[in-house]
Amino acid sequence: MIDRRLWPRGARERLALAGAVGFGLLAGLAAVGQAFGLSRLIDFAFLGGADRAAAAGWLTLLALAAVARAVSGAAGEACAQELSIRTRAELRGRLAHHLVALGPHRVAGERAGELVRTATVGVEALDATLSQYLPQAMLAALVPLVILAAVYAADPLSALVLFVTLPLVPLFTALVGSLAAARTAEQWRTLGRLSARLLDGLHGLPTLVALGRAEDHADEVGRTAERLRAAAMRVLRVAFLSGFVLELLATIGTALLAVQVGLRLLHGHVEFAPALFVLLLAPEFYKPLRALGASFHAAMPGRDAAARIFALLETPASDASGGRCLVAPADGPAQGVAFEGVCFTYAGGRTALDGATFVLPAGRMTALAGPSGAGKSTAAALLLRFLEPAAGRIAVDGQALADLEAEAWRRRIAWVPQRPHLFAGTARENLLLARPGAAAGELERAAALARFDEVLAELPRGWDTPLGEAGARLSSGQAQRLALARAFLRDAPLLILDEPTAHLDPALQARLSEATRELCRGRTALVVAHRLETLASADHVVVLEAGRVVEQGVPRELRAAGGRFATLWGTP
Amino acid sequence: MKAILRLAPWRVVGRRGPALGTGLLFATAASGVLLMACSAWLIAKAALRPSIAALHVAIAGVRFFGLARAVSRYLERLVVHDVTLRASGAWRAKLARGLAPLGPGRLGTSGDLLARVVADVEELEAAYPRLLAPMAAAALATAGVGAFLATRGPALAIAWAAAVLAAGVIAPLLVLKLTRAGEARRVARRATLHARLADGIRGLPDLVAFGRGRDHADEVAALAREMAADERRGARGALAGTALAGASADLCVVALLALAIPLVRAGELDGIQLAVIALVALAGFEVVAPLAAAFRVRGGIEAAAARIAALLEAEPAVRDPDAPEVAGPGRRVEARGLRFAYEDGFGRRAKPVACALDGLDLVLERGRVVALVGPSGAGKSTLVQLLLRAHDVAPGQLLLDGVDVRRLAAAELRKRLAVASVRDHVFAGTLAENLRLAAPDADDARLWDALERAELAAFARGLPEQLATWVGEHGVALSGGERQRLVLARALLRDAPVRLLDEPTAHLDAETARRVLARLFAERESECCATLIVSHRLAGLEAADEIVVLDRGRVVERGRWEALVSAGGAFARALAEERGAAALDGRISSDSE
Repeated sequence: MIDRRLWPRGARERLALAGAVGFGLLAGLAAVGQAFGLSRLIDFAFLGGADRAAAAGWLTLLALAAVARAVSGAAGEACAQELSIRTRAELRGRLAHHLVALGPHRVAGERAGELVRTATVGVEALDATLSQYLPQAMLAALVPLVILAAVYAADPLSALVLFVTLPLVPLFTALVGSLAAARTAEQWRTLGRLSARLLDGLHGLPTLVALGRAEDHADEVGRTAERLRAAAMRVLRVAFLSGFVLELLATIGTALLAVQVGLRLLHGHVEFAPALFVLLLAPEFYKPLRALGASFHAAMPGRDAAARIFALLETPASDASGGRCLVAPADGPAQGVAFEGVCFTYAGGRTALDGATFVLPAGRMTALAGPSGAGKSTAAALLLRFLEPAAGRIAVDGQALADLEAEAWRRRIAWVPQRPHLFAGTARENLLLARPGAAAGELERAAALARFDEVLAELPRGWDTPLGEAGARLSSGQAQRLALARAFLRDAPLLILDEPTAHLDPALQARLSEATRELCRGRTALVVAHRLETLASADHVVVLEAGRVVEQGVPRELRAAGGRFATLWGTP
Repeated sequence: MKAILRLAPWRVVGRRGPALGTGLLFATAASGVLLMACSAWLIAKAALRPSIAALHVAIAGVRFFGLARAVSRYLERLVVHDVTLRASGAWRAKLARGLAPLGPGRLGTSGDLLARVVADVEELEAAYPRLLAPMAAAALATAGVGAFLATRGPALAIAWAAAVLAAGVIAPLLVLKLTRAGEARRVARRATLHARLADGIRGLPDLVAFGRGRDHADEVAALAREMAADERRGARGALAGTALAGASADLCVVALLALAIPLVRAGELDGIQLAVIALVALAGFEVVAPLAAAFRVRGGIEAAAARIAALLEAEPAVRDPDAPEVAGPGRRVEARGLRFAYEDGFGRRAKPVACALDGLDLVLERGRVVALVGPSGAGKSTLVQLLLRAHDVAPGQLLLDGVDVRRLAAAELRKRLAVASVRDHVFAGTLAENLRLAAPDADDARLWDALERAELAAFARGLPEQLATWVGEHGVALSGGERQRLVLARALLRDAPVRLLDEPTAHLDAETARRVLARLFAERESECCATLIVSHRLAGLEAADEIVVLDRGRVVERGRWEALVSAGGAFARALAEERGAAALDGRISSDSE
């Protein structure tokens, strides 16, 4: 039931669990003391005829036991919550770091939504498992034993009654549980679908309004909710049986004990005080088991979540940290970058690069051209070291890129993606991503160079306008200018630019092209080209097809040579 | 509490269920109390060694109440869940009914508000089982125990009342007071943390490329630690309350005995009653004790309930006229000098943004296809939203068959429109159910026909259960292009006289896009409808009767394809640009074959 990997790892977590169990035991002992005091006091006053003054000692003891029980119970609870709080905070931090280590290729894209759910809602779902189920499972194994020992000391026969009912608890629960599991696997699926549909109905309301179906839909929601209820009740009728069995055993055990000691009292086989003592302890004996049964349901979602979280944490991080960890040459590529027979195949089996050999001359702009799927973006991702080549190598000034430390290498790169991610934060913070700590003047200059100042002028609060999910949305042209501004601010010797596909606004397009040309000036640049004009203005062109280089060279010469590039150029 | 009571289950599912649930909860508690009372009386009496006959009733009582407690507990859990599910279903239906008239203008297009509502309804589900039913049952049970104690001695009843007040009223309110602000802060911090995590995952390429991945992870870890501190404070506040409740229960027993012993001694109380009183009091607290912990969630439930109530009372963005005119057949839609600016577009955007539409004139007529093109943010989709009456038009006019849309009932207007947009929702359900939203009575043949026209039939035939395949959440995941075609098929199925297709070819490859558009143009001959195609892509629009080029809300060019190409203006330049890109992306390979 509990994922072993959830077991506390740090010293503080272990201490918290020990505290939860220790204080829980202490509360159990206090309950024993309380029962003892109560039984003695009542015996004393009932059969012994003592008055209040004579009973004062017992009363004081009882009051102390009551306070001790409340305090140790609360302390145990505090420790259990501390365990959950700490473990979840630690898991969140570990997940955040591990996701970064896994790298963009394995994290972004289609899996992003699922990963976000695992790291957020998934971690939340562990709370019940950690703060309730885990400590209660341990207490359920220990506290009944303590009470059994106390009962044995007072009246061995009663201890035997409790002892006999004890193994019935897990036995019956397991029996009912397996019955329920077999009957409900299919129904859980139905439940999942129905509740998804209910959630979905509200999300899609604007669409339903447009289709004129909102009114019918409200009825449909009612019907779906009714079906969900019926299905859920079918599941619960069985699922609650395990709780019922537990409850039944607990009360029957208590009743059995009461009748048994009652009859023995009648015949004088047992004294009143121990009889009352064991009767008071009977509910305490079953209490941890009942609590465990109750938290079993609450801990269900945590089971799934733990499996997903640990599967993610155990995915090995990408090996892009670098083999020999040499420091990259300080001024970036002085002699250029060479792709030497580079191959790369995606996990799905699609070969993106198949022995690509080409150069990026230092200080020049190289345009990558080719049909979609030819491997252009893969080449850019390899150069960014989001991916590592399966075969062949990339050389920087003759040194293997794989031998450089990835972080140090990326410090020499400015990247302009097709569509930059806008982080929740102001426009300023989004630009500062490229160079934290840049001065205001530098920001202004980068913005002006990228024509991002025009965008800022349109934003309601300029630099302080919030962007991202909850903030202002930028059009693709505006976002593109932000990406360019980031690159200007970065001021790195190597530029990797994924050109956006055509904008319908030619005036803006012209301004963007101009800014891009300025950005490339004096830098070693790799531009994934989507526009003919870009090819014409490149210093060097590499034409890729199905992962191989079919042509490369200076545009003018390639046109004269009459190859693929020339054909392409000939088309309007 | 007022907000919670206003959305209590008995407002929507009648009184019987909620009363039965509460009654069973009370019965469970009462059985527990009586089980302990009988047990205590049994052994106390037995200690006096009466004849066995004197014990029979008590023995029967122990057996009966033992069984009764287990059975009523089982039934209570079932009934309480049943009531909860019934009520939340009813509130969902009410919300669906109540929110629809608010229209897309108030509901927003981003889905944030609706996601919030969904979460709020879930939160509200805890109100009855954790607060309302236990509070009522605790009140009944403690009153019962109090009445019993009063017959044994008024002082006992007073001590009991004081302890119940401490454990059942003061402790819960203490928890509420100690945790309310912290809980709100914790919820806000959790939202921030989740947003940051999601932001980092979606933007990881940017973070890693700029070497900021580790900083971001550190930031998330720091937020997680701050949230842990919030949680810790909340936990402590709650524990103070539960400790108080626990201590008052146990101390109450001590006090009761201290008061009862002199009564026994004075002969006013049978000695047997001492054990009975102690055990009854202990068992009686079982229903009171959980209230303190439950009050930790009260603040959150209250806030959720208040938001739902506010939403149910919200003003719609667009109101139907008191006496709407009869809508025409939908032969002609005309926009005259249409202007529109989004007031408060998204989230925290502070001031009106630039005009989305700035003086648009446009005519859609049966048997004609008009294409509205322009860069993103040019205002193309705004026209569709205005026709749907998501917002009210201020200056300018929007006419359906010569009648201003503001004088029509919105539902009647929408009946004449078939809309397909990239923002349309694909519902968790089967493919057929998604399609039949547009035409509830359509048979399978019509569904296949619509899929054929949207170029989705081949895909649908490849699905494991064809039309019965579950799509959307918990089903087959659709790609962007497949979604888009499904939405288009839905609109085509609708048989409405005015078709508004917002980016019908988004996410489609060039070849499929061309086929989809060719079919749309072919259907024009049947004079079935007036069609508006909103698109940022130009290829495939050659046959349009009119192409309107929009930039920042203004019409910069309009005319037929050939005229626009030869005019050499913005359209011609954009087309050349698009063709160049298409050549780079596709033609190298096709030319080389």
